[in-house]
Amino acid sequence: MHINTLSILVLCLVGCISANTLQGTIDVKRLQTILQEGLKNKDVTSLYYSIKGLKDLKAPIPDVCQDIKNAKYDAKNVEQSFYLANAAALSGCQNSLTPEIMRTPVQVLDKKDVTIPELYYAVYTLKALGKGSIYDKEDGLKNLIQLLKKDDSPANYGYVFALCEHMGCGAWTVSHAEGVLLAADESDARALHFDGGLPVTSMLLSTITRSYKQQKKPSPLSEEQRYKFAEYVLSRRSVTSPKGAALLLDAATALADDQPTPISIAIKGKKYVTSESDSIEFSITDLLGRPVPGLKPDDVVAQSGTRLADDVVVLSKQPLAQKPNEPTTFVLNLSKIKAQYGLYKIALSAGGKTANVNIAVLGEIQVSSIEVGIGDVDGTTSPKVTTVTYPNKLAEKLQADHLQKVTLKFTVRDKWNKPATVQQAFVRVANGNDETIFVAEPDNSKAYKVDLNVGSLSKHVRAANGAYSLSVLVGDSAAAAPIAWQLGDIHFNFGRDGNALGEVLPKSGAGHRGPLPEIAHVFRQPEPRPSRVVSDVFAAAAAAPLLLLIVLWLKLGLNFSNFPFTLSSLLFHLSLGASLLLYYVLWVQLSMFDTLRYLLPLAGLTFLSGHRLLRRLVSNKQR
Amino acid sequence: MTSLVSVIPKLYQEYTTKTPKKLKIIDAYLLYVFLTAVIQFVYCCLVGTFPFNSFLSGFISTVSSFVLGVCLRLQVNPENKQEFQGLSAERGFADFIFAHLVLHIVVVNFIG
Repeated sequence: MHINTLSILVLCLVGCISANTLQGTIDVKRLQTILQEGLKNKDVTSLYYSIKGLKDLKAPIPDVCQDIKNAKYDAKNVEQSFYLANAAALSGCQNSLTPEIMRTPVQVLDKKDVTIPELYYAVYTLKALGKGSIYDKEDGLKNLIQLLKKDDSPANYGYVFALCEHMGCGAWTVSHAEGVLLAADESDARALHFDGGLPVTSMLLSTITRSYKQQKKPSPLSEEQRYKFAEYVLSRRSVTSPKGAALLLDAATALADDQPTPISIAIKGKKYVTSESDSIEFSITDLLGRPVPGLKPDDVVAQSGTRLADDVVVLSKQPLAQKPNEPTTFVLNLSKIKAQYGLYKIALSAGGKTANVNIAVLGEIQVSSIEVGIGDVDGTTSPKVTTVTYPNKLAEKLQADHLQKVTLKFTVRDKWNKPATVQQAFVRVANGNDETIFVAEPDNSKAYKVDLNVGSLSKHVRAANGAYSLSVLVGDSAAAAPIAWQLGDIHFNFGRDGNALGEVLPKSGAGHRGPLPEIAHVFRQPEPRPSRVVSDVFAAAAAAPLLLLIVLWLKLGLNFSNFPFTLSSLLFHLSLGASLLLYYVLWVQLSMFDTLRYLLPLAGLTFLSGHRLLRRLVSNKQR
Repeated sequence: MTSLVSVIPKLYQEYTTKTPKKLKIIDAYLLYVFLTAVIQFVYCCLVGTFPFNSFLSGFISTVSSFVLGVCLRLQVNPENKQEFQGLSAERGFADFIFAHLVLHIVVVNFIG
């Protein structure tokens, strides 16, 4: 257990360190194009950097003397004077310059509060004009150190190192360079650069490496620093301006020429092998795309190759062959593993550095035939099976209704006719723009099967009856060519819930455009009324028991003999009658509140008179 | 069956002879109210409930009148004297009138 953990740890360490090669180079051709374009620019900065870059590339420089003569620049600005003077010096056009250009640098050197960049520009302007020996070495260095104490930014160190190259104080540079290199900023633990970006990084790298070479000292850069600076330079390789291009070239050259050079291992061309082409080409170069010096072809070895899917080691210690006439291209023959398709990780080592590269072995996949079975959902009858061979279509138009299901069965095979599993296997049911895709799942024998239950399919295709096209889609990242097989049409009938195909179906809200239809108010339909005769007859019938009541009362001998003709009794009956009459008026026209207003005095009268009447009746009875 | 046939005339005879006249008057009123309700209900079943609130108010009016009538009959009945001590028949009649007035103002308001 512990040994396992330890070995994994060790493996990881090896992997982590050894993967630290570069994975690309700087496209020198592209930079050269940018620089040549920059020559056409009349700006002195572009002109200077273009000429400088082209000079570094040893590319031919056209005659630019006329441009330098006519160049517009700010004569008071020492930086612009520097660009113009140096452009002229590099292109051999010093004669096109006017003596005017001398004035500003000389003034700068006499200034009291001069800054280090100004000094650098002034000194190098004068140097370009052939007046370089103005500066006194000992005093100059002291002054510069004083100035550095005020502002010890990496940029200022770069200028001082450059001035030292001119003044011959390279020993001071060598004694301070390592400290400056340690001040570099690290980003993502991968790349190193100096505060100030590409210009400062470029200047420091080139001045330091030049100074060390001049002093015949071994390079101060450690291997890790070398790769990290190279990583930064690579991350800036998409520059577009002549200034950027020249600075990038400067930095890249400084790193690439400093032995041992950082090695770049990258796949050249295709990243996969098929049964037709069984080799992969790697380009192993330095940062600028040149052959790595001192790299023997025997040193380039594929240390191991593992399949990513199951970590099976498929090759080890296989040497690569150098391609004739192309010293940077190495060929890895993978004919041994081309039969087993999948993704592989190759650990490639060159000159003591190892890089992990992922490659794919693409196989062929084929689906020779497919079984389309139509049977009942409950499985009571055996399904009717139609077999179609690739790439034919269904001979007849199949029909299936909502009580049936369609079963599709197929096997994906590789080139040797062995069943294979793929990453993607789908069945697509489509009708115009509506499509539904079903995932086919492999069973234990790697046979793919999809059950299309027509009844439950209806909700996916909006239950539109009609012909649907059926296709099988098979793909894999390790397959050379995916398969899209149009099987043909099948007619689905969704039974009662079905809509006719092509019928305009209400779409969901997202699909609606334009105004909604106007909403017109619709009154409630009056309920049917009975005819006049019927209601009249029933009105009479409802009143009829009143007659019966009168008849019964008369029969019982109801009389008014006991009626006391007093004021209270008359008032009582009158006010009670008036109340009932008021109710009738309420029914016909009055509102409840009006009625209550009239009713209150009436009710009071009725109460008083009724009270008196009834009391009299009681007292009469008791007597 | 025979007993039922023999019971009914006896019952009727008992009723005619033993029930006070006042109660018979009230019974006639109850019968009238009951028949009116039945006719309204038959109309509703046969023709429909079209003026629904009219039907409801008419039906409720008859049902409540019947209930009030029964209450009056209970109070007036001399056999129930023990139950309503201190409440005379006249007092019952006054309550009956008052309840009717309140009931019918609601009914008329609802009739539409």
